[in-house]
Parts: sequence; structure tokens; C-alpha cells
Amino acid sequence: MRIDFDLLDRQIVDLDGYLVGKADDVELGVTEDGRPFVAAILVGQHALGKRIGGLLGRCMAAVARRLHTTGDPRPLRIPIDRVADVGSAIRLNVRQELLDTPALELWLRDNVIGHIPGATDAGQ
Amino acid sequence: MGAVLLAVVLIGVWPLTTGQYRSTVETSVQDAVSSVGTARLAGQTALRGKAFPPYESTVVEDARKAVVTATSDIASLEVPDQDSAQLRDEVLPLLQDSVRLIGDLGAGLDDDDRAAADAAVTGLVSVGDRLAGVLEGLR
Amino acid sequence: MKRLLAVTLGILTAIGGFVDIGDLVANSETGARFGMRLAWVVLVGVVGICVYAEMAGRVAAISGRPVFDLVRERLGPRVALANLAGSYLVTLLTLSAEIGGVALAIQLATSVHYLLWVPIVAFVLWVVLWRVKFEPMERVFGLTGLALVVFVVAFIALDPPWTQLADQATTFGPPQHEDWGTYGFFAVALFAAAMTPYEVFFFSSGAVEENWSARDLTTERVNVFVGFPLGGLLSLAIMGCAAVVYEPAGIHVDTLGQTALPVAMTLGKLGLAVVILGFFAATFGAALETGLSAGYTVAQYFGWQWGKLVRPRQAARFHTVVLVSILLGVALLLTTADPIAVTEYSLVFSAVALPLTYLPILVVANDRDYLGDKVNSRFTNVLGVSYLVVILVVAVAAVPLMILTGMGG
Repeated sequence: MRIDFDLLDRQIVDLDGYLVGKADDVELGVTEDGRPFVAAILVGQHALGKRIGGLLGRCMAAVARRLHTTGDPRPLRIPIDRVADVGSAIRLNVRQELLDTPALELWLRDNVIGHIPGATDAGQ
Repeated sequence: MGAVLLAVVLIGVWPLTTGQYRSTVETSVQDAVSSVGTARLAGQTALRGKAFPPYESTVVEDARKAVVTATSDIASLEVPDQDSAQLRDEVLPLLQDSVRLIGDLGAGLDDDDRAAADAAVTGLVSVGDRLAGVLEGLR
Repeated sequence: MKRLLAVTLGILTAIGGFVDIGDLVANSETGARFGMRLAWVVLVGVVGICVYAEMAGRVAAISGRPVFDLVRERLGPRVALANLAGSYLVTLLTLSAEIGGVALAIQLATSVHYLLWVPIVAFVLWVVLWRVKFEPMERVFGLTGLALVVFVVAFIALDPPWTQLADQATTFGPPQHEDWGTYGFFAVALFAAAMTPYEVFFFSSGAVEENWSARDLTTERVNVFVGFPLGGLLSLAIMGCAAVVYEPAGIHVDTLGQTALPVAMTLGKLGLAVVILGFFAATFGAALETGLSAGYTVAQYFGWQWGKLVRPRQAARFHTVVLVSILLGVALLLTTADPIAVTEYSLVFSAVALPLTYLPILVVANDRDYLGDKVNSRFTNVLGVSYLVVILVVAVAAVPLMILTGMGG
């Protein structure tokens, strides 16, 4: 498997098909015999901004960090053993409720969309 | 950079040449031909009872506004020379007639005055022909 | 009946995407200025959008991945971001133009100035996007849009000079009084109108929203091969009506009222009422498509949850993008920018953005990891590659032609 071709920028979905995010970056580890392996997938505009680079990328990462009102402003880290399989999407073996909700989603949910009547009505 | 800016400004304020004046007039006359023709067709359609008032008034009003814009485009230009002045004297009265006739048509249709609307359509046919003749000459 | 209703996604995509405010005016305008001399562009465009919409729909049905997912995966985050910026801008301009188009259609029926309708239309649009389920939305507007078939009836009722129109359609080149520049410009605009990127964004995302799978491939193909040719037929009928009524009189067309006039002339009040209803449905359908597509592109680039299948609360970022896009579209209109001019600009810019959208579709449609044995046939690939060349030429030519001819003069 090639990281750049098969993993990066692929859609991540949870057990139920809920869209979690993109594989914006990966975290590499090194085994005891010195071979590199993918330790985790990073999701969030912090990671994406770093990969895009340049002024635009720095701005994107800065905005993403600024949006965190609590906790550590770091991208969502999904350990590789949470991945069930990699096909046209990266399928996780957990539900998204167990993962951190991205700060932007949380803020918009609480401050904008959540206030509109019908926001909690079942999906259509 | 400064030179480019200067060039842009100079192009903006430089007096018009005869050719540029002529091409503005051509555009305006083409717009007038379109609007007069559309108003005529809409008037004829309305007189045959084939349209309803909101539609008629919208189309006729759009046509009138387009001719007003065309007229003011010419009127607002500085005339570069004698030939252009002649051209202006030939075109402006036709455009004014068009505005008047399209306005009359709109009023006639609004008031349900068939005779007035009919007369306006007849007028538009003749103005349209004359405008088309001018346009032919300009090309 | 259920089978018949299953093609409504294709019909809505085609009616809204193919026959939106841009095409209503562009086809009429071209017919009035060039007769049927540019009819071939519509045919080339129909085949092109069929080829690529079929690929995009097939990828979406089998892998569950809509177009913008592919764009990011195959072009990487940087190039995809450039594409996102371009596509979003074009979609936003189109959304704005469509809202204006709905308001203009209502003005034709009420004579109340369109700007007064703009905020109302935008609010209703947002409510529909917020509350109405995907399928009824698609059925109501797709099927009502079929009212535009009245253009075909009107064209036949005009008793057109068939041989003369056929002569025009088979000669390549501009008529007298027009030059190659304007001919090229209108050819580019018509082609871009047929291949507008938001059509594949919407079609593929709609396929995901409708939970299409490999079993729905037949439905998918029927949708494409019925919907888009139907859109093309309507475009040609609109062009033909203008070619018969306006071209001989030398009248240029630039308002929606003029587009409808040939129908009133031949079919009277009833025809006029039907055509205005058709305008309303087609532009409103296109506004729905572009509003959703604005949300789809952004959400799919970043991987956010999108779509109408989940509670709005669970897709807060997607719904926010849709809401903000509608507000931006309204703001643009309230500067009194002419909706027709906005459409024309959006067509030129979408021509520029075309290659970055269609290349990834072609690449993924050949990827066995995504499609298994449903990858492109050799024939589809030959067509796909030829069209990519055409798209590249159009993209390169669009802006120079726009400047050279001053938006077609």
C-alpha cells in the first residue's frame, strides 16, 4: 500500500457510514527493526494546512487552532488499529461518537444550526 | 507599473475618434432595433389577445429602458467631428421616437386603449425599418 | 410508474443544469444572432455531459464517492483547493443568477419588480433545502420543469422554414454581420453551459443521497441518457424559436421576456402561462442544485458530513455553507447586478474550471480499486479523452475570447 496514493486525502467513514473527515495527514512510527509504519491518521485543517504549506496553509492551520475553545488545539488522531479496511473510503471500526467532534462543527452546531427550528428532525 | 496606470487613465480620458464614436452609435442602434422589434412583436401579440397584462408590461418596459440606455449612451458622448455630429443628428431623433412610441404602446396596453396601442405598433414598424436602414449603413 | 419516477434525478439535473437561466437566455441569444449555426455545439455538449455524468454517477453508485472526493484524492490537497476555489465561485455566481432568474420569472407573471422578489425567493429556497426531502424535491421541480417542452410545441407551431434552418445547422462559421470572435465566444458559452461542473457535483452527490448501489447502474444510465438529451432537445427548441422569430428581423435577445415571446405568439395565453411556470421550475430547480452543490463541494473537499440524509445538527458545517452561499448570492443580486450578466460571467469562468473537474473523474473511472469490473470501456475512454482535449481547448480560449469580443459584443 502506498501512503500517498491509497491513504492520504481519502474519505474516512465510521461504522455506520457517517463521514468523519479526510485523511489529512498520517503519523509515522518506526518498528524495533527500524522499518517505518503508519501509526495514526490525522484529521483536521491543522494537519491539512501544514501539508498545503505556504501562506494559505499557515492561515488554514491558524484558523483551525484558533477555533478550539477548550483542550489542546491538535488535529483529531485516529490510531491505525481503529481502521477496519481501506477501500474507496477508510472505514473505521468505531462509531464517530467515540471520536472528538471537530471544533468548527461543534461551534456551528451550538451557535448557528442548532438554533434553527427543525435542526434535530430525523434525516431525510 | 506607473506607466501602465498612466496608459489606463489616458485611454479613459482621451478624446474619442470618429471610428469609436461610430461604433458606439452602431451598438446603440443595434440595441434600439432589438428593442423596437421586440416591443412591436409584443404589441402585436397583445393586440391579438395572446398574452396577459403583467407579461406585456414587463416586456414593453424592458424594451423602453433599453432604448433609453442606448439614447443616453450616445447623448453622453462628446462628438469628435462634423461627420459624427451628422450621424448623431440622424440617429437621436429616431431613438427619441422609439422611446416615445414604446411608451405609448405600454400606456395603450395598460389602459386597454386598442386604438392607441395599434397606432403605436404601426409607428414602431416604420421606426424599426428606418433604424434597420441606419444600421445597414453603419456596418 | 415507479420506474418512470426513478429517472427524476436525471431530469432534475438536466432541467436544472442544462436548461437553467443561463441556457434559457444563451440559447435564445444564440438563436437570434446565429440562427441554427451553433446548434452543433449543443449536440457536442450533450454527448460530453452524458459521457462524464455517466462516469461520475457510476463511480458514485459503486464506490459511494461523489465527484469532489475524487478531485481531492487524485489531484492532492493543493490543486484540489484551487479547483474548490474556482468551482465554488462559479457555483456561487450561478446560484445568484438562478435566484435572480426565479425572481425574473415571477416578474413576468406579476409585473412586480424582480428585486422585490429576490429576498422572498431566497428564503423559500432555503426553507426547501432545509425541510424538504431529497426525492419529493427532485420530483416536483424535475417534473414541473418539463413544462418547458412547450418550446418544442411552439417551434413546430411556428411552421419553421426547415430547409433554411437545416442549411444554417450544417454550415460551419458565422453569418454576415458577425465575426469569428463572437462565433467562438458563443460556442464556448454554449459548451460551458452544457458541461457546467455543478451538474456532475449534483448528480453524483444526489446518487449518494439516494443510496444508489451497483444494482442501480441501469437506473443511473437511463437517468443520464434520458435526462441530458431531453435538456439538449429543449435547448435546441429554444434556440430554434429565436432563430425563426428574431434572426430574420435582426433582433438581439437579452431578457427572459423575449425568450418567452415566440411561445406567446404561437400558443397564446395558455402557452405563455406554461412557459413561465417552466421558467420558474427550471430556475428554482437550478437554484436548489447550485445551493446544494456549493455545500457539497466545500464539505467534500474537507471531508465533512454533508447531505440531507442526516439530521441538520449532524451536518452543521454543510448547512452553514449552504446558508451562507444563499446569503452571498442574494447580496450580489441586491447590488442590482443584472442576473443575465452574472450568468454570462459564470459561464465563462466555468469554462476555465472544467478540466480540473473532469480529469479526476476520467482517472478514477478507470481505477479497479474503486470500480472493480465496472471500469470504463475502451469506447468510453476514447470519448472521454477526446472530450478532455475539447475541454482544455475551451478552457484556454474562454477568457481571451471574452476580452476580445467584450462578452460577445
